[in-house]
Amino acid sequence: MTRKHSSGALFVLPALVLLAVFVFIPLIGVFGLSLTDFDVYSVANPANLHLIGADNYWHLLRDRQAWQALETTLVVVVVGVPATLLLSLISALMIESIAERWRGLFRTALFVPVVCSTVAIAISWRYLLNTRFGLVNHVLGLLGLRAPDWLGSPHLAILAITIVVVWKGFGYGMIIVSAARKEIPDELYDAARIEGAGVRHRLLRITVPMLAPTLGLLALLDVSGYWQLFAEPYVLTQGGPLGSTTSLLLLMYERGFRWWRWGAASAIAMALTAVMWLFAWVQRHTRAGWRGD
Amino acid sequence: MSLQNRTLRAGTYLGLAVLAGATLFPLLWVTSIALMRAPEAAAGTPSLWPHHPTLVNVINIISRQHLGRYFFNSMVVAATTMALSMLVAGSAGYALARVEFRGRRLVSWLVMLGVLIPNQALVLPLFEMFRTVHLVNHYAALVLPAAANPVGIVLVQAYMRGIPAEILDAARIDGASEWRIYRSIVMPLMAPMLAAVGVLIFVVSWNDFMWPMIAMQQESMQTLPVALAAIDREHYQDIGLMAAGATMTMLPMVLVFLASQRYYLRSVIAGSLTD
Repeated sequence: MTRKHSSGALFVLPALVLLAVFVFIPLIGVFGLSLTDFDVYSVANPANLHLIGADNYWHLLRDRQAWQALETTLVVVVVGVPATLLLSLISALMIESIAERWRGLFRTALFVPVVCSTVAIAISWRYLLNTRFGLVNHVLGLLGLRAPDWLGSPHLAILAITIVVVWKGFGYGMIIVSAARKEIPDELYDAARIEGAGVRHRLLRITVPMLAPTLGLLALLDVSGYWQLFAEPYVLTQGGPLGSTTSLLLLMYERGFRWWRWGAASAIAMALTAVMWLFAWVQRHTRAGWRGD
Repeated sequence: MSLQNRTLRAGTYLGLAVLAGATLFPLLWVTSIALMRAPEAAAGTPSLWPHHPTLVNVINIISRQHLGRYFFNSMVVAATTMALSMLVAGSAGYALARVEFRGRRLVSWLVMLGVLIPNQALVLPLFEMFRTVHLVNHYAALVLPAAANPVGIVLVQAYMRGIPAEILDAARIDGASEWRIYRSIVMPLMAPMLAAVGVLIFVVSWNDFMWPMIAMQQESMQTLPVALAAIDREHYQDIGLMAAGATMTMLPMVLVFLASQRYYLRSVIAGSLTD
């Protein structure tokens, strides 16, 4: 039926146009830009624009700031994602094990940070972590512990940012794990109980393996979110101290919109995208991957 | 109930209460600071509760920092993005799931590829595009790229796959046009998922930061998070003022979430079940 053929295409046309213009063409554009020396001089006069092949990428490999940004971003991913997954899992299992009428309340409470603006969250946390009047250090002081300068020391600042990111993000995974936990048939637990399996045994032999695909997908979602870290360091530390919290996207933003070195910035954007595809590929091809295939 | 089980249960409630306290406390505290006068907000011994509540911070950020204007911008952008996304994702998601047409597999694949492209990596060419057509500092610069969100399409597509094809086939045999089928049968069927996508996009659009900061260079066109970050660079020492700004940026989305929780969480869960 030709009528049906053409109408189907009409239904997807608006989406296709939007995706082409605002996702695919810019992706090609950012790749193209990464092969040029587009900078503030080319903005003034297009004659100053040259194709320079893979030079931006070679420079990136020898760029200490870029390696530092990569390390910073990786720290947030490598520390933050497992912490988030663990918190999502634990909170979801706790919620699923309590009386039905209390579940909604806790679910809402743990999810609220997810819908809050990252900029506003970062401002709130900057006051919590403040060395003079912040509550975190006040409580540490009451407990007789040393009160560190969270956002002022290179090692702690990235940790503080990771804490904020995890705090804001784990509620999202909690909802997903919670839904997946409901799908595990009760019979499995009944059978295990009859065979005398204890709480810990049921958790490690039934719950966690059954949730593995969900956790695998969640890991990818968290990784791709944290990999795009930007607003937290922008507001909390402006990338400092000593560049220790400058994420890849923050570096791209600064090179692109503060120094107008678009060629160099585009190479960072391409590297960021490529690594994300790598993450997705790995996730699909590991056993923990979604659907396990 | 055995003693061990009872301890476990008590521990679970306690653990959840601690977690809920830890997630809610920073938000409640910043709201509380927003209602404090400057000396109390910056006291060496942090005050948990405003002892002499005042609206001076709220009044200041509205009158001196024009928060109302940014609120209006955010509202217009989020609402328009939501409406456009629902239209686009609704029809595309339905067609990809339930209408046969040439190129359907290719389009499905492109949508999936779209999900895997970090949109913040695209801001440089996007800025150049909007600059060329003189749409920087226009609402369109925020609405159009945000409406190209492939996640909504994927969610609707997966939802429609779960609806039996027979319902639609019956209507087709009756000779109804595709448009008529879409309007009077498909739309009501997918309304719950469309609502979920709508709320999700609304919140995402409201909170978006990097691209709105780049695209809205003119102050009067900025959205709340962008303006908040700009005010913060100048007034970060005015704790009460910034706390008021942060609270007023977050509160609308918390209320939207509380009011539409059922739909919002559905979109989160559905997102984890789709391919």
